[in-house]
Amino acid sequence: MAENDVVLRVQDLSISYLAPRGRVRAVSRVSFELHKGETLALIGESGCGKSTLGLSLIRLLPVTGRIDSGAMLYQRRDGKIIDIRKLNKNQVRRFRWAECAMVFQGALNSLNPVIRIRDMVYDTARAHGEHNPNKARRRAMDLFQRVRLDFERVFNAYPHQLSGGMRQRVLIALGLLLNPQVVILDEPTTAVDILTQRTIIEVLKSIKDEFDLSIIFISHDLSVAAEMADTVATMYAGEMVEIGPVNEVFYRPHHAYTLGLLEAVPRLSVGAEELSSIPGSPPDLIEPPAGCKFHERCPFVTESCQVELPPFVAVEDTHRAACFESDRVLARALEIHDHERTAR
Amino acid sequence: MIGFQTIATTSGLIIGAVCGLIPLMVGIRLRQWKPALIGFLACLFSGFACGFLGGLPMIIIATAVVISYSYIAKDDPFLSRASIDEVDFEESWQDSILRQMSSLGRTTRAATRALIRNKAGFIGFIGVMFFFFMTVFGPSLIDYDGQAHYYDRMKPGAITLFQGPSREFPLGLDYQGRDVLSHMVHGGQKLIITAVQAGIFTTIIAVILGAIAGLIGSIPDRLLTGLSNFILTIPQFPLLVVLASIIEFDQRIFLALLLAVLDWPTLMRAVRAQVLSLRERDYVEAAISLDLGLPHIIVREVLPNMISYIVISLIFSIRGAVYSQVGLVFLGMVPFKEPDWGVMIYMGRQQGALFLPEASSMLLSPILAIALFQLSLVLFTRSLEELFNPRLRAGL
Amino acid sequence: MMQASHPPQAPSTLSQKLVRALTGYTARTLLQGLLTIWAVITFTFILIRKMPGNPVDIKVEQLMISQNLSYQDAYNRAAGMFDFDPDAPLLEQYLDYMWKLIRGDLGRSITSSGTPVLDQILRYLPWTLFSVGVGLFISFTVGIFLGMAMAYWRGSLFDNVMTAFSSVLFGIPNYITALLIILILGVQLEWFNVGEMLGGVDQDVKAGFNYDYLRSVMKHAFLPVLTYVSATVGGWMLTMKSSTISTLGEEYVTVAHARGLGRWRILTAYVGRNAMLPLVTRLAISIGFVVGGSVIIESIFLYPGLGKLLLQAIGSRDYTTMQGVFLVISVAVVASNMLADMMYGFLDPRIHVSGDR
Repeated sequence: MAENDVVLRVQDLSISYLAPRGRVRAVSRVSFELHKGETLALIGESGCGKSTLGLSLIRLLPVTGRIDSGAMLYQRRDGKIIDIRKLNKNQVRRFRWAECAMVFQGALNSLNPVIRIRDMVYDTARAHGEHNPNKARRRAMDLFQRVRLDFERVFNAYPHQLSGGMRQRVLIALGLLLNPQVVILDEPTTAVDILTQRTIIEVLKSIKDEFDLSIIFISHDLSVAAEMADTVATMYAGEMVEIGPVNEVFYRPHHAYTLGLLEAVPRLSVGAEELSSIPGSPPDLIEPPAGCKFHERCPFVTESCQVELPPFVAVEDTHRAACFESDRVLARALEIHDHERTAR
Repeated sequence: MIGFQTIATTSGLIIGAVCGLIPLMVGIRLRQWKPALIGFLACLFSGFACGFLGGLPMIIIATAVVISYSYIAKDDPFLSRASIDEVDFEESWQDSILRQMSSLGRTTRAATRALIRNKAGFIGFIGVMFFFFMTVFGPSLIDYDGQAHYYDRMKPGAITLFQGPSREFPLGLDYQGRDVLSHMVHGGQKLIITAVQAGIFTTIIAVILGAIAGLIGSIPDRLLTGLSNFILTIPQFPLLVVLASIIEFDQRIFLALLLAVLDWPTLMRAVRAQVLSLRERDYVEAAISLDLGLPHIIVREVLPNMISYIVISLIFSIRGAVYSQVGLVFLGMVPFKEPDWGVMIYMGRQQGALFLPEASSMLLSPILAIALFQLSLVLFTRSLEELFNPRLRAGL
Repeated sequence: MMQASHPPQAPSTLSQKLVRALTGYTARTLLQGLLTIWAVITFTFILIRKMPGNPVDIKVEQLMISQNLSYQDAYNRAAGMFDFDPDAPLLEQYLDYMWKLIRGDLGRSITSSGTPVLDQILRYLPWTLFSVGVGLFISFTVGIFLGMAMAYWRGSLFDNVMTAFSSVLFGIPNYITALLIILILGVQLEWFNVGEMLGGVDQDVKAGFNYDYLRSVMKHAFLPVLTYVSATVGGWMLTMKSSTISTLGEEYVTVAHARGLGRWRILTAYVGRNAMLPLVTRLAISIGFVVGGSVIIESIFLYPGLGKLLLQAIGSRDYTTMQGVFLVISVAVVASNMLADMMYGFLDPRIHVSGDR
């Protein structure tokens, strides 16, 4: 890897699942880079492949899943470069959590109901070589404070005694236990109410500042992404269709799907108008349509869209998109913006 | 009584033919030729086997299957051709019967399909059918060898009258020189019938009590729940043994009743839970009154939802009843008459057959028969489970 | 901001702990158990006094015929044997009966003139406890391990063979298994000498904690224990297999893998402990069943346990012993049910919280 601050590089990654009907192409030829201290938001509908992508980074795909092609390269703090696909079982175990941690949704089921939180902390510490419970406890105390949890109460509690928001914060703290370089957050705000969402977002923001973390933030919620992310990537039907700095993607989108997502967010500032959404539903991933996978729902569709797969090319400096009609998309986006500005 | 035996007889054949006319005619009327013929044959067969006991229920099932082939719900939006104005959403009682019959028929057809699909269940089904055939048709083919043969069959130099399997007597001879095979064929009937009776009694008692407990609540509910907990906690078999020693059983049906009295709690709880969950609905609250509401609610709402669970529970009850019966006979607690599998084991043990190699056949035959019968029942429930649990089914 | 559904308790004071203990799950289980035991005692009382085929009446008739007594004399004699005062009102008899019970007096045996029933029971009880206990323990443990293995290697040859095997074993009634063991393994295949293995212990060995005695006990307990295990292990295996399969699908197992935990730790604390929970509830029911079956099995193997004592008493129409043994058997089952329920409360912290359920 050339640049020194690229922590994670994914090249041409394709992942599929074996389903009764056939092979489901969950992720198709995705490429991106994650830099030190960068927060990348992966946005998309359910089933677009974002969670699968996250799971594959720590090699946690279910038995039916398979990485068909591509590379995942990771650079450790000491500069050594690791090919994630080539790790053996033991190496994978040590890679997980210590280098790259995944924070799941804080549902009741993410935590073993019969053991206490403290045992989970000790388990994790022990599995990675830290056998001194006091050290683990002190580290946990520090982290719990940072995620605004009452250490005394939570540390000795059972999962069912905690609320959803508390559990999510426990999972975040657990994720940071071994000081990883990369943290993947899978829909951290989806399962909680809006007030708790706020708390979690604030916690995440403060952590982002304090620790030297690269974050991959998986969500379908654009507004949360806007607050947290430096870079935003949108995924559709297993493909990454656009990626770029957050302001650019939001104000100057180049892919029809991204535009559709942005338009679908209701705006308080513009008064009562019809809620827009993207008509239709995602395509069949076992036998996907030819050409651009979004073409069946795209308002800008042309003939070439139906036949050829648009290449994922740079449209601006660090901004890439896979759309033949990106000019028209951009034009429409700017149009909407002007309209909003005058409407205020 | 003629017509109510569970052995194949010629009168049964006639009864079966008569019963079979009904699905046949219904089928002809609805122009479903193949189902009509199958229905007729099914009635013929079950009538032949069990007289009225087999023929009458089969009429209902066969007719239901026939109806299900041609029934189209008037208000089914996908199949009906009637326009929305024509459809009257209130049901006349004739329509109601038709609808329920067709649903019964569909379930039966689905059951047969599921039967074949699940391997374990199919093996169980074959096993159950084997025993059914043996006990129903066997006695007509093989005569009962009831008389003791003291000398005419004894082999030269033998000490006992026992004999191992030979060409003449495929299952050997018992302690009185009698043919074991004939005892086997004749000896299963009463055992199985009593077990089935016990199962039916259990089901009836459990459903009624469960419905009462669920619908009325408060004191009757507490009492029944307490009673069922009590019965469940006491070790059943020792209680049976003690009761059997105190009470005299002249007729087997009383034993069936007693077995049912100890067996109802499990099913009752499930029925009660189901009824309680239904109570939440408003219209049930309105209908709660003993006179009108109770049977209505049980039949219309509780049973259809629970039919799968009830059938499986019935089979388990039968299984338990066989276990208890044979256990009691084996210990000598209940003096049943020969021929009977349980009595064979008991007598065999008394006569020391347990340790004589040549006597093994007399013991092994009923033992293996009972073991295989129980096993078949268990395996059979597997296919039923798959049928009634949509998640296990691979799409119907 | 902290909307906790079950607020975690701050460390509790002693009195708080006491209150929690009294209203908690454990206490309620205990209470329920005692109530059931009381019901059993009352039931047994009614059984002997008032049932059709009333043993007292039978005894009276017997005495009248065999010893040519008048009804009154016979009745009084019978009352003496059964150890109750026939003229007293029923309630008083009942209270008298309860009072004696509490003091451990179960009456006297009718046939072995005058031996206290309690003594007899105490002689036979340890054997049943031993054989049934060992059988249950082995069956449960083996069943859990094999069940988990079957779930982990689902679909393999091992799994299919084991599933078939356990289904077959599970379907056969326990006394049939016992008879089959004797007939096929003992008589036909002659793997062991059946005659030698009957009974509780060899007659010529001195009792006590010496090696010979223990070895003899083991040898004789082998067949009954083998029967108990064979009859029940299939059920444990199948239940554990399905429970493990559903636990493996839970998210916290995936999270545990994501945390880089070792396979063994996940197997025991994450999968094992959770998958076991449904089985512990079944354990309670299973105990009752195995004890019930022990009546027949002890008879088959001539094993000197409570079951054999019960049958002996029935055979000789020794009603007081019968009553006493039945009572003890029932109480033992109820007590073990209670234990199993409490163990479940101990294992599953979701129930442990005070008084909620």
